[in-house]
Amino acid sequence: MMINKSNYEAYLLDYLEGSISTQDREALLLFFDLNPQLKSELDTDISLCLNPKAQLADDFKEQLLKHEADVYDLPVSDYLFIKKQEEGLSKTEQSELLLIEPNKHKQEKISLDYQKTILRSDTTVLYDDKSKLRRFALFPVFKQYVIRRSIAAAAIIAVFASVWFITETPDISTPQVANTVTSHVDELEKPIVAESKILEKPLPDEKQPSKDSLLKLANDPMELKKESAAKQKPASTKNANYLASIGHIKPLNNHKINAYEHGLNVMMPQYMNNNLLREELASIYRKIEVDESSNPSISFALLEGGVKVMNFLSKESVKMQKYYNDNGEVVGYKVKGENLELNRKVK
Amino acid sequence: MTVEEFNQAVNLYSDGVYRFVLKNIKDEDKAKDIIQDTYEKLWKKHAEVNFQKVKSYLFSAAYHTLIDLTRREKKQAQWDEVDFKNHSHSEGYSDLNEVLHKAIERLPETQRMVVMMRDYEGYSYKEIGEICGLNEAQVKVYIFRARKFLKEYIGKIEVLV
Repeated sequence: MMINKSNYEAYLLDYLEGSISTQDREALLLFFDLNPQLKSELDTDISLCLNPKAQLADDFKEQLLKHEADVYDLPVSDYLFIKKQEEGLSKTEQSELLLIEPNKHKQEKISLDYQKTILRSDTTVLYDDKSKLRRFALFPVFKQYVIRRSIAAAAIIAVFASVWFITETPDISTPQVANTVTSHVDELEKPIVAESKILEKPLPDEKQPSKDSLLKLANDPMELKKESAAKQKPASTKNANYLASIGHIKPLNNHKINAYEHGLNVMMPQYMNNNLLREELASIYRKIEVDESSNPSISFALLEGGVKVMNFLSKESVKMQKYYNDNGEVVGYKVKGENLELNRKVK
Repeated sequence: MTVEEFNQAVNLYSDGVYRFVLKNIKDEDKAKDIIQDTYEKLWKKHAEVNFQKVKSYLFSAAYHTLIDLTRREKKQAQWDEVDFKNHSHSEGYSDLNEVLHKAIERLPETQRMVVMMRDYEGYSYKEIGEICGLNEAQVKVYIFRARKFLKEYIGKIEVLV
């Protein structure tokens, strides 16, 4: 290829870089001989490329560098002093600290300030309810399913036993009801075993004390006692004669009753007795109040008798307290029972 | 963990956990309730918890209960805010420990608890991280920042005195 003014620069660059061939070199030198005004270009300095080893500005690099202290947003000195206290410093860090704070006295003072920040627990503060937190272990002597099964078995046995007991055991607790109509009288008839013993006992046809008898007893308790003693003899002889007239005693038939009936049998006499007593006591009080206005001395005697009757019948402890004047006369009395209290002056 | 080990945990750590909770909430009754809750939680999981890690478990449970409580109370307190300007610095300081405990109250709650665990119980960063659900670096940052704050606070008080 011919070298001319339009393409000589490409050959010249190869020449300067040393990469031109011998043939092209001779042609290029011939071109410069023919054009001596361009020959100075052969001495061009082409060392203009970027040097990869060129250093960045030191201050710019410093700005990019980070210290461990930046993680904590702390000044380096503080970071180093805290680290010294918390974990200790490496040799590099120690020398760094020496550079930052060369004064040893100051170093010690700052270290001491940081030591003051260590918390000390108050060991006198104790949790005093430890017993509430503790737990106790149950030793597995019996396994739960064994206990459950044995309880179930015991319950079944108990049910069967109670059923058997109810059906088989004769009911001795329930009272017997008299039944004169018997089908097998002959079989049941048996001789009197202890006629004499029966004669000794009074018959259970004694009546409950009537209102009149109570009032009588209240007026004169001693008289009533005598009367009853007098009456007892003919009654007992009458009963004895009656019993002696009976050739045989027919035993009573067992008649089963249920629990409700049994309860009624037990409760009803008590209930009736209580009602009767209440009525009797109320009538005595009424009588006392009426008599009190008419004849104080009689009413007082009546009251005394009434209290005795009350205690006799109700088994309650009705207390009577008398108040005396200087002459030894009764001026007042106080009657105190379980449900009543009465204070009266004797007129 | 056996029942015996559970009872051992009561004897060994209940005082420490109680002190830690009490320092944070300043209320004996609430602190006792938290301790009871904490040990109740432990009892429910005692079969799964290893005795070697029971202390961490206790502190962790107490820590989370405390966090819940303080957050709940903060919400409550927003309704009836106190005028702190009129109440601050009314008390006198008798000794360094008292000053330090006043200073610790002013730290953010996580920083406060982390420093307490570090100082009271001597836990490592890693252990504290496990208890509080933080990584080691976070724990370290909290402790370093707290130290800086405490040092400055004490310095200021000393200057005032």
